[in-house]
Amino acid sequence: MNASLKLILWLLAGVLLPLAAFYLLGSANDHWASLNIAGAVSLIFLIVILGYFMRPPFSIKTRIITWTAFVLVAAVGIIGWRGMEDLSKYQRRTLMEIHTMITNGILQDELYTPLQKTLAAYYGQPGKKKETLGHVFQRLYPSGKIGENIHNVHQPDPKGDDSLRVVVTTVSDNEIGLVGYHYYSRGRNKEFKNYNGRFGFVQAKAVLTEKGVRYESEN
Amino acid sequence: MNQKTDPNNASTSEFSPKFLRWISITTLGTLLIVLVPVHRIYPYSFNIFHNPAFQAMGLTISMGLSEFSGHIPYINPKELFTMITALVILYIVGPVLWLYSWRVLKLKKAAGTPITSIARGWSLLFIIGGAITFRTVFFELISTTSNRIVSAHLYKAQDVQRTKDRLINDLYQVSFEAYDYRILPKSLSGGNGSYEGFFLSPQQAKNDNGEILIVEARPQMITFLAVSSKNIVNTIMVSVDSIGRTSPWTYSGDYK
Repeated sequence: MNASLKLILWLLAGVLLPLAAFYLLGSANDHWASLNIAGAVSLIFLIVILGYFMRPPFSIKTRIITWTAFVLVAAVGIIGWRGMEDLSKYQRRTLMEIHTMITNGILQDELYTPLQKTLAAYYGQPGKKKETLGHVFQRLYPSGKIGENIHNVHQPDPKGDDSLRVVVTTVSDNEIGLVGYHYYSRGRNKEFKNYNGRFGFVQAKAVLTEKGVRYESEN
Repeated sequence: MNQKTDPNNASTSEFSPKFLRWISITTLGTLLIVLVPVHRIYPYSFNIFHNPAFQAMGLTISMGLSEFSGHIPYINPKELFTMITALVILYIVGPVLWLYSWRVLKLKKAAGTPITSIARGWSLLFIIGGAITFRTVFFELISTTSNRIVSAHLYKAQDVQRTKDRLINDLYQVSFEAYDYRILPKSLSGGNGSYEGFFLSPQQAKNDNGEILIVEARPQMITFLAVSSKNIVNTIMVSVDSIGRTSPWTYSGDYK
């Protein structure tokens, strides 16, 4: 077999093996898994070709230098590769953590504000005959019926993609209950069933009684 | 001493017509690669010479940004194809061309084969393969070093930011509770229109994120100070007014 044909065969094997590993053994949803498998196959292939090509007539000295350089570069390459994978995955996780933290802060505000406004108005009533908590809440929030969303009802998002909901769960003389949840901000527990039937997203609830607001971050 | 010229070897002179033809083709080829807007035909064409791990990193971050905006992350098959193509070109094609042509040239030299156009072809492959391989090695070393430096800074900065965000959340929580206390009458353990007498539970006063202290509690206003558990120089101060509004937040240390 002449040298050109051999080269073509080596190239063909070198191209097909990582490609096959990437598309056949990799994961459709995780490009890092696919790339890591293809990278590992490429590394094995490089070791094989280095062992095969660096035979005599190459001197021992040339072989030792080439192998040492290969091992060093491969080690640095693997460290760099892993570092990039870790860093990018960390960045992605951090972005969602930031989102969750922002959502939790917004939810706290969105749940506390109407309830504390109601509480302040309730205790701010003059005279002895007082409106109940439920009446005060419905006077302040006429749209606040059970099952209704009271978030941004007066200033709806023009694009219509508001992903936060604050739903009234209880309205009675002595108790007002609200639950707030987000459509895609991930909570602590993936199994948690949200108010809207989805699983794993941020949710908090707050209950107002005459003793004040009881707030609980549910997920 | 007079130099002798070998008339049989005239075709290998650097100014021979063959050489000039070769250099013209190479120059035209390079100009063509640079000037023809290949990236308009295939937008990811430039990435074929980028480190595949670097491309994967960009893809992961763009997926994170996509999730942040509430979209379902999507991997474009063209991006995946470009990534694997880069891997094959940089880590397989380059080294195979270089090492194999090196071996062929070495064997020819050992056998004493005269320099022919075939040998010059192998020399060209040796140069191309070597250029790809050494370029890959160079960028590998650069990107690994810069990645280590950037990662160290980023991990530290995000750790500071994370503690800051958590303390802000904790401060919001105690601010709401303080305002609750102010609204409630004395009969329900409230402040009856004053923040005086408000106190924090041990869990609120100290947790993994840091410590929260009440700096001042007056009828119309209460001031909290949060101190980071990781560095006491990093603090956040905030006041809550008589209608429950939090004042502008004051930061110190790394939180500034």
